[in-house]
Amino acid sequence: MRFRGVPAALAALTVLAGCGSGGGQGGGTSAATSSGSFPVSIEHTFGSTTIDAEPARIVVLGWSAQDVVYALGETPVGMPSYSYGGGDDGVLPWDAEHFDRERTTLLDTTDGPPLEDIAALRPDVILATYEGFDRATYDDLSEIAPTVAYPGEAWTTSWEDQTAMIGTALGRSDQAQQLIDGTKAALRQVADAHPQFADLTFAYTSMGADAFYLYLGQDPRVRLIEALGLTLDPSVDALAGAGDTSTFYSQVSLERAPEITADVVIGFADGLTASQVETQPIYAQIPAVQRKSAVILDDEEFGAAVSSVSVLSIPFALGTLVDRLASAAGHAQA
Amino acid sequence: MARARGSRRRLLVGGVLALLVLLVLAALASIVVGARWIPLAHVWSAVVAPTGGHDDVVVRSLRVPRTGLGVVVGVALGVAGAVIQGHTRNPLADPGLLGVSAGAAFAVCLAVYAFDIPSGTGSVAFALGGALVASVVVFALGTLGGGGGTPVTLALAGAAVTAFLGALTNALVLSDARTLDAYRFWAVGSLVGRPDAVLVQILPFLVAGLLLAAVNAPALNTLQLGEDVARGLGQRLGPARVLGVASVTLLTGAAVSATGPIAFVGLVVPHVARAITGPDHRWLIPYSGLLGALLLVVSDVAGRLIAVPAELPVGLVLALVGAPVFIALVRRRTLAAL
Repeated sequence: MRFRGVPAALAALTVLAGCGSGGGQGGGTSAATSSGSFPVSIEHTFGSTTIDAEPARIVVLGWSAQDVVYALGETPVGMPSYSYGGGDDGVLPWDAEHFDRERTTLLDTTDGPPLEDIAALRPDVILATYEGFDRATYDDLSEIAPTVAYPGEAWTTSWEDQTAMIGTALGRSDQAQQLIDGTKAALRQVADAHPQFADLTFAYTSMGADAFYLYLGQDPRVRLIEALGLTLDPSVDALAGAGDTSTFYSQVSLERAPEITADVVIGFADGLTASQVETQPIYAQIPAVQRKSAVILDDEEFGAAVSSVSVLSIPFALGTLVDRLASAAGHAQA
Repeated sequence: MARARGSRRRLLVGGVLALLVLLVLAALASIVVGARWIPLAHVWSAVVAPTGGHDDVVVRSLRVPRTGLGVVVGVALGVAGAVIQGHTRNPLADPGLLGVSAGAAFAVCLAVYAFDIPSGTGSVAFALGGALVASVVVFALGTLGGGGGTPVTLALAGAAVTAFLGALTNALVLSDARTLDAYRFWAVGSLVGRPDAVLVQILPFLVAGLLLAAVNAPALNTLQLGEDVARGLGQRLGPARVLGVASVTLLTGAAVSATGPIAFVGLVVPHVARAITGPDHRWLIPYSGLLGALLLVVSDVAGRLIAVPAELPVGLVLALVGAPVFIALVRRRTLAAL
C-alpha cells in the first residue's frame, strides 16, 4: 500500500497545530510559554529589534506570518488580505479555521503596508519576517511598534527561519522548534512511505501560454519537493544556467521546455487550465508529460500553499501533492 | 519634368520590391532562428516532412505562427500609424490615440471578470468589440461640436476616453486576481502563445482596414494642405474623417486584440517611411505597412537572441529599440511638417 504514510503524517501535523492552539488559549500559563523570558532581541536585515514584554496585539505582514502565529496559539489583530489563493474573503484556506473576523482586521497591502490602518490597531509588535519592504517603510513601521523585518534578501525567508523568528518574538521558541521538528518529521514520514521518490529527479516549473519558468534550488517550492525525497534534475541547472541571475527562478524560452528531462515534472499552469497545458504542442513534447509523470496544477489555493510555505500550508499542500506525486512516480518508473 | 517623375516612380516601386525581399528574408530568419538551435536541414524537414519531434513542434507550433502574426500585425500597426498621423497632422500621434488600445484592454479584463472568458479566441472577439466601441465613442465625443471634428478635438476625446477606460481597467484588475492574470498576460505585447485561430479571426478586420486606408489615401493628401484648402479643393471632410477613423480602428483593434499593445511601430514607422516617400500617402501607406512588418518581425527575432535561453517579448524589445530610434529621428531633422 503505497500511500500508507500520508494520513499518519498529516494526523501528526494536525495534532501538532492543535496543541499549539491549546497552549495559547491559557494566556501564558502552559509549558509552551516557559521559554519566554523578555526582553528578546531578534536580528534582521535592518538591524536588531528588541521586544520588552510578551506582545498581546500582533500585526503580521508579508507571507505566511499569520500561519505561525496561529500555530503558536495566538491570534493577530491585523493580517494581510490575500487576493491570490484567499478566495472572496481574502483568507487563505488553511487559516480559515483559525480566522475570527471579530478579532482580526484584514489589511489591504496591495500598495505596501497601510501605515494608518496598522497604527489604528495599536499593535505591540509587527511581524514581517517574510517581506520585501525597504528601509524607509521599516522606519515608518518601527515608529508604530517594534518591527521584526525579514532576514537577508527580500522575499527569501525559509519557513524554518520564519517559524523560529516569530517563536522568539512571541516568547515561544521551544514551541516554535517543536513545530519545525514536527513539520520536518511529517515530511520525512512522507519520504519514508514513498521510497521510490528517492530514485527520482524532478523539475518545478510554471507553464504559461507565452512564458515558461524553472524554479531553482533556493526556491521554497523546490525545497519542499526535495524534503519529500526527490532530487532536483541536473537539466534544470543546465538550462537555467546562462539565463536569469535570480537564484529562485529562471525564465526559459518555450522552444526549450522539452529539454527538461526530469523523471517527474511539476508544472504550475499559469493563466491556463491543466488540460490546456497538456495539449499545448510544445509542452506535450516534455518527456514527463508524454509519460504521464507530470503533475500539472491549476488550483489557485494549492498554488498559494506551495508558494508560501509554512507550518500550516505544508500539511494543506501535502494533501493534494503526495497522491499526485506518487501517481506520477509510478508512470516515471514504468 | 515628366521624366523625373517617372524615374521617381520607378525608384519607389523598386523600394517596395526591396522591402518585400527584406521582409521575406526576415520571415525566413524568424523560422530558422530561435532560443533552440535547430540545424537548417531539420528546419527544412520540419516544414516539408514533419514527424512530430521536438524540432518539428518548435518550428510548426511556435516559429511559423509567430512569424505570420508578426507580419500581419506589423502591417496593420504601420498603416494605422500613417493614417492617424495623416488625419491629425500630428507627428506624435500613434494608433492608440483614439482610445482603441484602452478599449481593447478594458474588454479583455471585462471578459474575464464578468463573463469568465479566459484569454484565447473568446477574448480576442471581446477585445475587438471593446476597440470598436471605444473608437466610436471617441469619434462621437470628438465631433460633438459639429463640423466633423478637428484633429485636436479627436485627440482630446481620445485622451479622455483612454484615461477613463484605464481607470476602469485598473479597478477590475485590482479587485480580482484572475482578471489581473489575464490582463498581465495580454498587456505584455507578445507574438507567442496566441492560439492559431486568432490570426484567422482578425484577418477579415485587417483586410477591411487596409482597403479603407487605400481608399482614404488621396483624401489624406488633400488634407495635408490644411482643412480650408482641402475644402476649397472640393474635399468633403466628414466622410474622409469617418473613413480614416474606421480604418485605424479596424487595423489597431485587430492588432492589439491578437498581441496586446505593441508600442512604437505605429509611431516610428510612418516617420521612416515619410523620409523615403515624402508626403504622398499613396506611397506612404504601403511603405509604412511593409516597414512595420519588417520592424516587428526583426524585433521579435532579436528578442529571442538577446536573452537565450530566455526570451524578451517583442513589446519590450520595441520599447527598448523604439525610444532611441525616435529620438534620433527627431534630432536628425525637424519632423516632416504635417
